[in-house]
Amino acid sequence: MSSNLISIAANGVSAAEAGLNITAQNIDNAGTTGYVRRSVQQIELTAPSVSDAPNVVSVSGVMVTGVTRNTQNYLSNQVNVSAANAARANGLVTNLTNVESAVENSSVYASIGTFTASLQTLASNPTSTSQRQTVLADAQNMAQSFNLASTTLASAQQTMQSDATNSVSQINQLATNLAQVNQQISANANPATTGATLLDQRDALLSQLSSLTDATTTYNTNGTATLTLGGTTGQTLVSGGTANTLSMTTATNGTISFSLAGGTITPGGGAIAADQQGLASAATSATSLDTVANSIVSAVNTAQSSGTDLTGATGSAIFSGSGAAGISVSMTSASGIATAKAGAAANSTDISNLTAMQTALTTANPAGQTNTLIFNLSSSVQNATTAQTALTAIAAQAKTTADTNSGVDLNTEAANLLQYQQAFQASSKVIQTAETIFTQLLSIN
Amino acid sequence: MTSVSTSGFYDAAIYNMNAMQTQVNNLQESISTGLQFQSSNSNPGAAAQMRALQLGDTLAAANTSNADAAKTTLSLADTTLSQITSAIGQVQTLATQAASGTLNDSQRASIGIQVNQLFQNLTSLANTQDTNGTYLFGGNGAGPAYSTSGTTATYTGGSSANTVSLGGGLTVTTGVTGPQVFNYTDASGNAQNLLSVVGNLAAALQATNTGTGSTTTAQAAAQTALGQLNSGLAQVSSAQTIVGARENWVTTTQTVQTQLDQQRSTSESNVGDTDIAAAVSRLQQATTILSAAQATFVKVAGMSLFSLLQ
Repeated sequence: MSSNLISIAANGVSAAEAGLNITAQNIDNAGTTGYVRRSVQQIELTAPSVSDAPNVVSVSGVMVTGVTRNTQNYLSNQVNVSAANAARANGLVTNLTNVESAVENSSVYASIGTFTASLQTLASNPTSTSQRQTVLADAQNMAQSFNLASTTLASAQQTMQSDATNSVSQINQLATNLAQVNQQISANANPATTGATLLDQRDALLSQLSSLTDATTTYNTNGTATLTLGGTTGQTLVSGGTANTLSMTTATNGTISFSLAGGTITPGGGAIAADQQGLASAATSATSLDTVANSIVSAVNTAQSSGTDLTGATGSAIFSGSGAAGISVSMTSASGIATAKAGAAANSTDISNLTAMQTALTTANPAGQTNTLIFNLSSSVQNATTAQTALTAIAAQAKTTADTNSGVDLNTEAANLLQYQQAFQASSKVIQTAETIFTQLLSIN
Repeated sequence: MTSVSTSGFYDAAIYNMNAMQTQVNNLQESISTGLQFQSSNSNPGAAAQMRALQLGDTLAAANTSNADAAKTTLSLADTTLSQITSAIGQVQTLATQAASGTLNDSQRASIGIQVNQLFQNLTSLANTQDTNGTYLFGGNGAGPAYSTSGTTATYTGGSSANTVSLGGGLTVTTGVTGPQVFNYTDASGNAQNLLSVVGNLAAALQATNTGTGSTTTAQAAAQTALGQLNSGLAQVSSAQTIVGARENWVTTTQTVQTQLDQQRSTSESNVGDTDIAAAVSRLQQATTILSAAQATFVKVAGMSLFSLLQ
């Protein structure tokens, strides 16, 4: 009997020790990202009753059957889905802000105003060399503002493209890693005991992936995860131990598209969605800027060709090139501005052609078009910011909910620590008691 | 298990305090800069309106400078027309003397020399340039208003004066052309040029002394000239009236410009300036909440069972 008592107590000691170890593990990893709180699974050990003595109590103590990861797949999936949405919203705000500031901070709008105003001032004194030079300098500034906007926009596009390229290679790396983890999980005979770390790894990979793209995750019964990109009808990224490669194509206008396993996919979340949407906005803005620049070139140069300059010659083009990137001032002498009507003499003070040029510019309305462009861009930033605020809050909420379920609470662990310590001490006391009984039995002789 | 995990508690506290801090920073920035929004994307509609208003400021500056220039030019034309009137008056006096029979040919010739001098003065006044070197009565032409050959003055300027926009759809014609000042139709219905009338009078008066004309002819020429000078003077006055009216018009447009400037400035203030009272009170509220959140965070974060286990 006493030997039985010792073995029961020994089981208790080792169960308490396992509990202490798990508690220590939990406390250690309270701050570890992706760590899921473990708890010890234990069952009561009873030896089967023997047929000749069915009423004899036969107990054997306790046994640790495994370690539980206190998590729910649907909760962590919710965290990943909301994180992908929040990552897309965050990235989109940054990307759209870059596009907006490229257009706005290049002073295109203000320089169009200054150029228009200096043409207006020239009307007062059309033969003034200094005023003509001012017009030419303002034209130069305006062209350079367009160039700057174009360069800044291109640089914003490059940033988004290289960010998307990096994201794609990270996605592919994570997909490969996940396929390997899947393989190990499916090879593991008893997931309940030793699979916790593998499942942690799986969930950590899924969490990392969620900031890059919105993967639809299916948790299989054997613990592996199957991923598809581009919604439920999309293409498979990871299935079991196999990972497909996501690839990216950059179009000439800077926009990007993604293909996976032979099909085109449109990501709805994560950094690559933010980049794709940001680049689409940048391409539209670049086209709009080009249109505005071309409308100025066309209005001014056409008016020039139907007027007479200060030397009495037919006006030549002030601007050359086309588009925001190409526009430049080709006129070198300020006397070349054709203010006078066709056929006027040299040094004519006539301003009818200048008036015609101003009217053409008013009709083309480059300032109004630029204002609309900036308004549209800043509105899209504002909308993205509103969405970002909401989606970030949702993601934080989902994370808190999941953390409540699966995170480590140090107060609980402190209580557990006491509980297991007391259990360890109590089991030790039982061993001591058994030893005393055994000694007493021996001393009977 | 409904306990909040330790990392979850910290995450939530950081998230909430960051959000509050951002709000405090934005309010502080809008108070310190006096601007309601720091970037277009905080208020796209207002920012677009603001850009349009600022473009209006830029163009208004050009319009103001154009109005000033127009006023200077018109004022100079006004003064010059007064000088022309005065010169014509002198010619009238001299012509009255020359028409009288009490003078001899040599006296009449010396009057002719004076009239010729006044003719030179008049053509010179007709070619007055403004500070930019533009001929006041040359219209939209390329050079001087008149070229003279002997006692004949020919208009070489443009057909009309420039019309400059002063903003708000208002325009002003910045001068009068030579023909508008000096050309008129006399009582007999003939087209006449006041400068040529003066030039011809000078020639006719001097002619008696050189033996090419008779005393009677010279007297008659002076008599005819008097009638023509009257009609011509009426033309100059009418031109001066036009110039005066245009000056007044510029003054009116300047008043309109000032009103528009004030309206834009009021709109800019309404659209873009911080409502300091509201912003300060919101800042007070936000900082109070933030301080409370920070204080309770420290208290709650210090609550650990471990600290009680000895």
